[in-house]
Amino acid sequence: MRKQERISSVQMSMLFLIFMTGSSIVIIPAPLTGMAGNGAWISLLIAYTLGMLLMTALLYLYKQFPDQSLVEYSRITLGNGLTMILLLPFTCVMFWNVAGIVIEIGTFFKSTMLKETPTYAVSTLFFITIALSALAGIEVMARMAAVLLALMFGCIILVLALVGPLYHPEYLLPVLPDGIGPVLHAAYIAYGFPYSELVIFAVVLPLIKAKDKSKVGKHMYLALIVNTLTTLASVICSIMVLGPLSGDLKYSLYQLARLIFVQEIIERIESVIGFSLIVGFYFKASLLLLILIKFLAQLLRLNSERLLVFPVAFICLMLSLTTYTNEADLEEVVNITWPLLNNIAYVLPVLLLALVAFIRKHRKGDKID
Amino acid sequence: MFGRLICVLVLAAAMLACDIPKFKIAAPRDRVVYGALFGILTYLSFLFVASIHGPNVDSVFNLLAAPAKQIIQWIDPAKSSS
Repeated sequence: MRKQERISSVQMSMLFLIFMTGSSIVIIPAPLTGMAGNGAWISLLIAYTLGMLLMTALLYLYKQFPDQSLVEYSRITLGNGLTMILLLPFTCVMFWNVAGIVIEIGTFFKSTMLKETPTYAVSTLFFITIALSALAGIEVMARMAAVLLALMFGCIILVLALVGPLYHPEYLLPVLPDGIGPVLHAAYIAYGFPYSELVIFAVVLPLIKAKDKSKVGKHMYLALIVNTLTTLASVICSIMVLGPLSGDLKYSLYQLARLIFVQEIIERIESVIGFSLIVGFYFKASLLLLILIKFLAQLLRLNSERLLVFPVAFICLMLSLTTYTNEADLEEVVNITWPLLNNIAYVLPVLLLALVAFIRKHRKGDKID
Repeated sequence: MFGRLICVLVLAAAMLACDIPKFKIAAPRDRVVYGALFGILTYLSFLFVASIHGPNVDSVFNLLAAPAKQIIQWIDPAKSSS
C-alpha cells in the first residue's frame, strides 16, 4: 500500500458496486424468498430504501469532511475518548465481517464443488489471495474492479438469460399470502446484509481525487440503484424458475445455472458460473480487509499499514475457522443477530456523527447570524 | 490435528519471514500493536489446532441473540410463534 493513493469517483463507485453485489447476489435470494415467499422483492425494496438513507448520511459526512476519514472526523466531532469507545465495536465486527465472508465461501465450496476438501484448506488459500490483494493497495484493486465487475455482471446476465425458457411468471402470485409480517422480517435480513454494511465506505471515501469530489454522490447513488436492480432481478427470476423451492435451495443463482440446458451444447456450466460468482466474494473480502487495515492504522495512529496486513488476515482466517463452524449456527447469526449487530457497531456511530455534525453546523450558522 | 498444526506453522513462518524486516524498522507503537495482534493470533491458533471452543467473538455476538430474536418477534409475531 503506497502513501496518498487516489482513485476516481467512478472507480470508487465500482468498488462499492462489487462490494454490495459480490456476495449478496448469491446468498440473499434464498433466505429472502424463504421468509417472504413471493413478497421477497418488496422486502428488497424496503431494505434498499433504508440503505439509501444510510448512503445520504454517509455522503453528508463526506461533504462536511471531504479530506478526512471516519476516524479523523470522529475525533474532531466527539473527541478521542468517545471515538475509541464508539469505534471499538466497529473494529471487532469488521474483523468478523471478513471472516464471515470466507466462512460463506468455504460453505459454498463444501456444499457444491469441493465436498471432500477440508474447509481450512479452502479458507487458507482464500486468505492468502485476499491478503496479497489488500497489500497491493486501493489503486490496484480499483483497476481490477472494472474487469471483475464486467465478468461478474456478464455471468449474472448470462445465467438469467439462459434460464429464460424455464420462467413461470405465474409463480410470482400470490404476493402477500401471509400478510406484511414475513415481508418486514425479510426486509430486516436484507437490511442487515448487505445494506447496513455500506457505512464502512466512510473509511475510504477521502481517497477520491480532488477533481471528482463533486460527482461522488451521483455515482454512489447510481451504484446502489444498480446493485438493487441486479439483486431484484435475481430474486424475481429465482421465484419464476424455482417457485416454492426458491426459499429452500441455497445459492439461488448457482441453482439456476445448474438448470441451464441449451440443445445439449450448453449444459452443466454451473462450475464456471460458480467460479465467477466467487470473484464477488473474493473482491468483497479483499476490500473489507483493506478498509479494516486502513481503519486500524488510523484508529491506533500507526505509521505503517503494511505491517498489519498479514497478522490481521491471519486473525480473520482463524476467526473463520473457530467461530460458527456449524452451518445452522451461521444461518442463525446471519438471519437473526447480524442486523442488530450491524446497527449497533456500524450504523449507530455513523448516524451519531452525522447528527452531531448537523447540530454543530446549524449552531455555528445561528451564531454567525 | 496434525494437518491443522502444519497449516498454522507454515502460515506463521511465511508471515514472520515477510514481516520481520518491516518489524525491525517499525516505530515502537507499530511494534506494540503487532505484538498484540500476534498474541491474539496465538490464542486463536491454539483454539483452531486443539479444536476446542474457548472465549471468542461469537461469545460476545451471542449475547445479542436474545434481543435480536425479540426484535424479530415484534416484526413478525406469526413467524416467531410458529
